[in-house]
Amino acid sequence: MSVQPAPRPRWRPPLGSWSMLFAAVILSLILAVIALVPLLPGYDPYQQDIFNSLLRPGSVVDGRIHWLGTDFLGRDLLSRIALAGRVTLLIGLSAVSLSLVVGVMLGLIAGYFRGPLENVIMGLADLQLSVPRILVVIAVTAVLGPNLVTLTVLLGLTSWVTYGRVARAMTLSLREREFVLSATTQGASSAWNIRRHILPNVLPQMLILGSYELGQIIVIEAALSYLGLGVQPPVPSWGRMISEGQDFLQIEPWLAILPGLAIFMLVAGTQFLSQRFTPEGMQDADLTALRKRR
Amino acid sequence: MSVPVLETRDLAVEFAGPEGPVRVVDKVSFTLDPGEVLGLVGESGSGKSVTLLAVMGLLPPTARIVSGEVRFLGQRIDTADETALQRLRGGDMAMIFQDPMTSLNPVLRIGTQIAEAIALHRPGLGRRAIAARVVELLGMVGVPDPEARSRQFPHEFSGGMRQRAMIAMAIANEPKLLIADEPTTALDVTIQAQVMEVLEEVRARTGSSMVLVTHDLGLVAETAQRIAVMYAGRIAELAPTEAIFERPAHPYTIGLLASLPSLDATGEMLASIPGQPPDMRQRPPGCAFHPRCHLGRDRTRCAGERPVLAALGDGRLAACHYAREAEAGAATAIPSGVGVAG
Repeated sequence: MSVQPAPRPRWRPPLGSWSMLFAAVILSLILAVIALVPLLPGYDPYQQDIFNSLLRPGSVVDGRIHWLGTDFLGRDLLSRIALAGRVTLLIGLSAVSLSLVVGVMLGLIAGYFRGPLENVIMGLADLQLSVPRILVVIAVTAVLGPNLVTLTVLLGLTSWVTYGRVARAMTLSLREREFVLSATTQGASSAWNIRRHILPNVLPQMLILGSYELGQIIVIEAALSYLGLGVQPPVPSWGRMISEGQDFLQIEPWLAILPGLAIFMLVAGTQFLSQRFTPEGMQDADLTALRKRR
Repeated sequence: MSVPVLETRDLAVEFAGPEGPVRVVDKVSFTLDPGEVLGLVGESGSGKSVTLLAVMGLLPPTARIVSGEVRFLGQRIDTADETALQRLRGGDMAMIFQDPMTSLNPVLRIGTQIAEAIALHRPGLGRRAIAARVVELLGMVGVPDPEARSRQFPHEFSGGMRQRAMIAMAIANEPKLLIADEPTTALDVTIQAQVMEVLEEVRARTGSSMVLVTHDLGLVAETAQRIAVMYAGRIAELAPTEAIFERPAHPYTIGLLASLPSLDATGEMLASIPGQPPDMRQRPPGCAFHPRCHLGRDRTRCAGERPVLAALGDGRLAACHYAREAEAGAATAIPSGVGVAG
């Protein structure tokens, strides 16, 4: 093989691309708020102070700074955004994990074993897709009553279809690959083939889907909380905070804007970050790694 | 006589087709003795691969064995259940595939994949013992620096090295039967000889028997003790390697040998067999080869009566009504210098 002189690498921003850098910055910023604010002295997202309600960002009360001001009950907004972030992330990550596990499992089974089982699973998926997710959640919450666990499980169980369909499609082609036949001639069972040979080939794509779905789930959770069907007071959530803030939109708009900004930072951050796992993203990252090695 | 490692008797396989079942393997009988290498030769679609899949119990769902039996070390395996077959596959019988590029999982390290082949059959073996065995196996098949190479991925291996890794995987549990399905077809010509050498060496060392499927007569000439020539789902001729090359008794075998390039006959056109292999859905009555046969083309017996695989002495079998005549005419049909079996 002839060795060509390597072309001079084009200058690339840290992390390989501008979008990755942007994602990393806003994501670490919002994660830092969520993780670190509860450690601050005087942190209390529930402490009401009716005489100091609706303070502007940066106001000082009794020597204590409300960095982002206070809400209509005088609660510190920064503390509430941080706590709400934890709640949102907890719901989002749990729901995404649940739906990923369910979806991948069903998809692998449908794609590998085919037959009537596949028809049942894919029929279920079509059925699921024909009913708007938010409608299902509203209906079930109306019956069971809003609560954190119900919400998480519901969000998880209503979003498996994306993983299921992609996992099935990938399995359909992977199961015909010769390395699966080769493993079978080595004495591998179906379960072994699925676990050791198909799953590792499917998983990277599932993680990309997962990071995309995390954004979706967070937005839906915000929407449900906004409708009063999600997280219940006094526990804060970003969606609830927006709905509480909208009453004061004319006089103190930051009450609604700041939680909205928090949602944007988390969702946009995860979306851009998911680009990292696409082939183009991988290439960018490889090139960056290559440049570092020089 | 010891028990044959592999024995098929009147094996017939049918595929479901839109116009009814299609028989792609018909009355295939052969035995494989311990330590023996049997070459299975035939063109694409002659039923070689389907025969092997039937032996391993890996026929696709649209195919089924309609008659006959397969015995492995004396035990019926065509009727065995999946669990029993899983224990056999990779344990006592192992397979090497044509294309090492696609038969290795691209996302798993080479060492991991070989380790799996071991772990599947020796669940009690510890991680460290397996790792040591993997390195030993890779060393055996001539992969340099086996310890480091076992941590690499398939794309970091060349074609020849990949096929070596596949061989290591196949012999991991010292199988009694190796099935090599065109093991060198996907490799560079320069690598083919090396890989065959490695395969033959490790086979001899483990004492396994082997079925070597190929359409390369030169390859089987060097490795196999006996050769079975398949045509249209049946065995046309089965004989010791030397006899196949020196005294072929089936017109199809003669045609195959005549079409081989020879070192002596330079500047001549290569001989070819006229016509096409038959459509398996409309097999000619009588001998499947007769429309293309220089002996049988005009004979009513060949068109009407199906020849059986009959003994000619010295362990030679041919399915031809006029085997003696074919044998006598073979010398003039085949250019000298072809297939000096040796």
